[in-house]
Amino acid sequence: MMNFKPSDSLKPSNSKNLEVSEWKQIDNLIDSLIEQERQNGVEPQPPTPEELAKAIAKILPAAIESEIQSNPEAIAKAIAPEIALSIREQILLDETAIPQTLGPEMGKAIKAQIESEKDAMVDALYPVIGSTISKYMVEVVQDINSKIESTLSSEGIRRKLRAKMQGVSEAELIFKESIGYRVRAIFLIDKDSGLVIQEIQVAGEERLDSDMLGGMLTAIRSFANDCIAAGSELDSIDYGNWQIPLEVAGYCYLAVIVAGEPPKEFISKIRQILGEIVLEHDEAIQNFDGDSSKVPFEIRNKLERLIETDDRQERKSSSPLLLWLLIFGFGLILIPWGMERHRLQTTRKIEREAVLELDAAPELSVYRLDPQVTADRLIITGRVPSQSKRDRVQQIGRAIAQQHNLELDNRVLTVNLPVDPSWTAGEIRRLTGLFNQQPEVKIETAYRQGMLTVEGSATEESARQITQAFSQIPGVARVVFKLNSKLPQIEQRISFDSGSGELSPENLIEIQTVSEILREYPQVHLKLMAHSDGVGSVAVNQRLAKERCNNVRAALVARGIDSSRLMDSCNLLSGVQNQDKNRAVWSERYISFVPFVPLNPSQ
Amino acid sequence: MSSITKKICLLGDFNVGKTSLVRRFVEDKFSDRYLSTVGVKVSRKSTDVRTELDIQSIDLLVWDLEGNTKFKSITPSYLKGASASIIVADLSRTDTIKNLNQHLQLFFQINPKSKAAIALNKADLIPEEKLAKLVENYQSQSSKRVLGVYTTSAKTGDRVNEIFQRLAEELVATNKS
Repeated sequence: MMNFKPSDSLKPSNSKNLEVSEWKQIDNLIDSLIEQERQNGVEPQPPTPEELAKAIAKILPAAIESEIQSNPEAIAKAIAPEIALSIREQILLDETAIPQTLGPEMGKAIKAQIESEKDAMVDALYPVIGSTISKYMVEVVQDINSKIESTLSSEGIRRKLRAKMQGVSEAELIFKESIGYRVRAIFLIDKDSGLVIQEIQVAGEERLDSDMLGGMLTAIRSFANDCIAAGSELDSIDYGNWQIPLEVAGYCYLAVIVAGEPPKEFISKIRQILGEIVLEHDEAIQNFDGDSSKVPFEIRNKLERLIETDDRQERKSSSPLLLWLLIFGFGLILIPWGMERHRLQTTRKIEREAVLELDAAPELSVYRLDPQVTADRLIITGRVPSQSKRDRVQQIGRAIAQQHNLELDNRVLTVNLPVDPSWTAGEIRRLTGLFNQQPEVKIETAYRQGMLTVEGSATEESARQITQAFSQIPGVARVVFKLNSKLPQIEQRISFDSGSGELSPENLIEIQTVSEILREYPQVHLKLMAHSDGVGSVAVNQRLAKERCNNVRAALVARGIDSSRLMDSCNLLSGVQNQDKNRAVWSERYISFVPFVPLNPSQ
Repeated sequence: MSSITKKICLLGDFNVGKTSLVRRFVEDKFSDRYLSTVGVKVSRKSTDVRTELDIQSIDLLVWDLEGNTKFKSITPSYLKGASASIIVADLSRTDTIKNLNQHLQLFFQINPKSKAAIALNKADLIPEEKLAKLVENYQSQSSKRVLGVYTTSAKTGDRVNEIFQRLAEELVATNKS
C-alpha cells in the first residue's frame, strides 16, 4: 500500500517560495476536482489517497507544462539530480526501454559530437577502430595473397612463394603440410574473470586443466593488452608444436588448442562459430557467473563443429580434388604437346622426302632447295638459275604434295646467281677431267673472266655433250669451242737419199708443214716411223733409220715442237716386208708420221 | 551436482604474504623464502560448502597478484570478473594496513557486486593482546561488503582455511539467490 502524505509529496523543494494565497488556490482546486468526481455519481466519502492522486494526476502534466513555460530553470534544477537515478531505475524495471528510446538518437548524438569535438571522438574510438581495421586489413591482405597463390595454381609454386615470404625453408612448410593439424581442446572463456564458460576436450588426449588454462590465458591476454599493445588483441599463442589461436568477442573469447599448423580456413571457421555463439547467446555469456549449469547447451554443439573440421576430413576431401586438378592441368599441357609433336614428326617426314626427291634430280642436286610443311601446304624455297629448273622443282614438288594431300607453294626464285669464280673454275676442271676419260676425247679448257675456251679433239657424239655441258656451267658467260671431231691426217713423208740420213731442203719444207699441223693440234702427238728400201744389211738400215729419225725429230724440235710430243718408233723397220716392187727405190727410204692422242698422264 | 567456479583475487602490498596464504590454502605448505610474484599466478582449489539442502562443491580459482609497490600499481584488468577478493596486509607493517582501504576501493570499483575479506597476515609475529586490539580497531571502519577481518598466519596455517571457507560459503549463497 502506498503511504501517501500530501504535505510531503506536494511540497516541492522550493515550496518556501509559494505564497499563502497560492496554497489556497491549490486547495480550492483540489476541492473542486473532488466535487466533480462526486457529481459523476460517486458516493460522498472522504477522499482516499488514491482518489486524491487520481484527481491531481489530471492536472499534473498541465501544471508541469505551465511551470516549464513560466520558470524553466526551476524545473530543470528540480529534476536534474534525479535524472541519472531515474534512468538507472528504469533500466532495472525494463532493460529495453531506455535503449529503445535513446537508440534512434545515438547516431545524431555521435554526429553532433563529432562536429563539435572531433578529436575527443577520435581518441575515444581509436582503440576499438584501430585494432578492428588492422585486424581486417591483415585478413584482406591474407585473402589477396591466397588468391594470387591460387591463380598460379600449382601447389609447389604456392609453397615456394610462401617459403620466400615467410623466410622459412620450403622443407619446413612441407613438413607442416604433411603433419596437418589436430584440435586438442576448445575453451570458451569469460574475458574478464578467465572462467571457462564451455569446454570441449578431444577424447584420447591427456585432459587439460581447463580452469587453470583459462585463468592463465586470460592473465596473459590482460598482461599483453595492458603492457605491450594497449587496445590491440592477442591473436595467438605459439608453444612448440602447439598453437592456441585466440578469437575475441565482447564478453568472451575462444581459445583453441591445436597441434600443428592450422590453416587459414580453420581460423575463419573459429571466427564464424564464435560469431554465431555471441549472436545467439550473448546474454547467457554476459551473465555467466561461474555456474556451468546455466550455460546453454547449444554453445557446446556449436563448438563441437570445430572438432569435426579436423585435418583428416579436409585432407580427404581436398586431396583427390587436388589430384584431379593436377591431372587436368598436366593434360592441358601434355595433350597439345603430344599432338604438336606428332604433327612435327609428320611434317619432318614429308620434308625429308621432298629433300631426297629434289636431290635425286641431277640438275637440281647442286642447288639448295628448302622444302617446308605448314598446316596444309608444302612450301619450297630456294634459288635456281633457270626457269627450266624451277619447272622441274614444281613437277617434283607437286607429286609429293599430292601424295600427302597438301597444296604446293613453289617459292623457288629464278635468279642469275653471282657465282663464285673459283667454283666455276672447279666445275670446268671437273667436267674437263670427266670428258677426257671418254675414249678419243682430248680437250683442254681455259677460263678467263667469264670466257671459256674449249680446245681439243673429240668424237662427234662427245663433242655435242661437251658443248652442252660447258654451256650450262653457271658463271660461264661465253664458250668458244675449238673441237675437232678427228685426228689430223699427216700425209707428209720425209724421203732420203740412198745411204744418207741428211735432210734435203725439200724435206725441211715437209717438216715445216708437219710442225704447223702439230701447232694446230696441240694435243696431238706424233709417232715417227722409219721405212727402208731393204738394200744393204739390216744393221746399216737400222743405223740409217735411227739417224734419219733423229734428224727429223731434231728439225721438228728446232721448229718449236715439244720433244715430248714426238715419239720415235724408228727401231722398227717398217714396210720392208710388204714393199711394192714397182715403186721407185727412193720412195722406200722415208720417215712417216702417225698422229695419236696420248692418254691423260694423270691416269 | 553441478559445480560452480569462482574467481578470487588476492591483493595487497608487496611482501605481505599473499602467495604464502595461497600456498597454505592450496597445498598446505609454507616456505620462509621470499619469492616475488611476477604478474600473476593462478591456482585452483575445490572446496565443499554445506548448504541447507546439500553439499555444494565450488572451485575457487585463486589469482595471486603481484603486490604493488610505490613504483608499480596493480594491473586493474587482472581484477576483472572476480567474485571476491582477499585483501592482505602485514600486521608487522602498519603502512600495509593503511593501504587496505585503497585496495578495497580499487577492487570494488572494478567489481561492484563482489565481496571481500581482509586478512591481517603474519599474526604469528604479533603478541596475542596486541592482535585483538588491532583487529578491533580495523573492524569498526570496515563496510558491509567486507565479510570479515581475519588475523591469519600462513606460517602456522592459523585461520587460513577459515577465511577461504567463509568466502566460498558467501559465493555459494550469492549464486543460489
